[in-house]
Amino acid sequence: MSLSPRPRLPSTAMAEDGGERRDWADMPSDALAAVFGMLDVSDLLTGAGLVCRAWRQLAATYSTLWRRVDMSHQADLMENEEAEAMARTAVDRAAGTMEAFWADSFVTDGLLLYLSVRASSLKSLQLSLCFNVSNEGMAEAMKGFPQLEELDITFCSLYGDVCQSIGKACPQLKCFRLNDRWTFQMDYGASDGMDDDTEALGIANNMPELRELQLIGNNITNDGLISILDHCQHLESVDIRQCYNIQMDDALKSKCARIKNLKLPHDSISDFKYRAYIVSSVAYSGSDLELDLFDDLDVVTDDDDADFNDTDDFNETGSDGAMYDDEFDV
Amino acid sequence: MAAGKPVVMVTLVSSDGQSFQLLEEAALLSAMVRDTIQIGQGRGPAGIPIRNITGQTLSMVVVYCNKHYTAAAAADGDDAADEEKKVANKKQLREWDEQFINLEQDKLYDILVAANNLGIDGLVDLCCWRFADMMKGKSASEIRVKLGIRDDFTSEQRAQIEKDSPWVWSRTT
Repeated sequence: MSLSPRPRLPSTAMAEDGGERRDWADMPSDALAAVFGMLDVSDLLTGAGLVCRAWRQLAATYSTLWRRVDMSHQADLMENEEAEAMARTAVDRAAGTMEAFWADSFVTDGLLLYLSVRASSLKSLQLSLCFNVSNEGMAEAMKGFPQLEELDITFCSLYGDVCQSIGKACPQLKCFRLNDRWTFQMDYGASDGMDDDTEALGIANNMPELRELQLIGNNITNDGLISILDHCQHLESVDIRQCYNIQMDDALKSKCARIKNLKLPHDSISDFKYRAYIVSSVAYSGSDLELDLFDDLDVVTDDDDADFNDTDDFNETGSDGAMYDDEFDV
Repeated sequence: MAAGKPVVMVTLVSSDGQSFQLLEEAALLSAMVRDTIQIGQGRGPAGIPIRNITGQTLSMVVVYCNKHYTAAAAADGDDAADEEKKVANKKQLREWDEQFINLEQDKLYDILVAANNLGIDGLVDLCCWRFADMMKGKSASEIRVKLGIRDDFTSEQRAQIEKDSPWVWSRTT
């Protein structure tokens, strides 16, 4: 085949065998951009984006493709180093326009800091199962995201003062999720000192613009929650499922009356994306949690709902809380 | 559709001379048709010539326009408050779309190019969705083989890709 210049508009030409030949490489670039926009980061970086010169050019230079980067659920598909290298490339290609970065286990302090100095326009950050991110790394990185509006930290080892650092760095934060596994904390065994409002107070005192708060499996007490409700006046949605230190007494009920969307400690977790991790931790009696976590990297997607019907039914009987109490009689 | 409204038909003529008659309102899903009618052309018996699009492809495009026009007209007549019905109708239309676009790649290509030239945004999106679906999870070389695209990188560019994309070598490119 010769290297003759291609016509600007796509066309069907006659191939050698007489049949019509479609030149996919010459697709209209706006249509190709729309196709690329529907592909994952890993697809763009390993597949479609490396097919030919024209496609590579588009993937490398069209920064809109990298505005929302979703690298969650990649952990079982590639090595952590690979995933991190891809994430860095995505950050580079976004050229300062990245608005959302969602990722799971492979994230490190180093990657967060890389993002922090190159993506100051970030509005949404979601981290799940990131055990390699430290409280200090997180606090430092957050300083680079002054426009952040949504932060989701699910099953990472981030706790305590980090809420204060986050709040101070991100004054526009409207949605904050800090989800943990109740059983995970029980594993440390100290029955005293399990009440802990450090995170609650960090939220109450530093996140005045919050609309939505999710604290699944937190050690928060009634005092902590009341403090949040008093300070975060715009709150519309509060989710404290599996926060078993909370006692929904009359005082707390009346405080919560203004919250439009309220989920209580013993409510079903059937709509929680990472519920499989919670369910499995019960099955394993909380032992060897590290192994358990990595064995079970099947994140529950919306499509899988049917598979979990049994579990849901079980939760809806209201007996899940009792079960936790029995398993961890401390 | 309001009663008593005159029914205006429009004729689209493919590059190989086939004529397709459809409701003007359905044809107006195409920005190109919209522009043509706006400047006062295309309503005559000669119809609107559609260059570069064969009858086989155009017939599919007409099916799409008719379906989407009918669905939109039906939705206009529905009780605006009935959210459940709206969601169900939308889902039904989406299922129809996915069935409609489940084509082999040459036909998909022709419809994509046609929809792009005619300016039918919904159909362009649908084709792109299907095309993206075909490429998901595939390596560059798999895509090249499937779509008959030639690897036109120079050796310098290949070296650059190797340097920029260390992850590539755990897969075939």
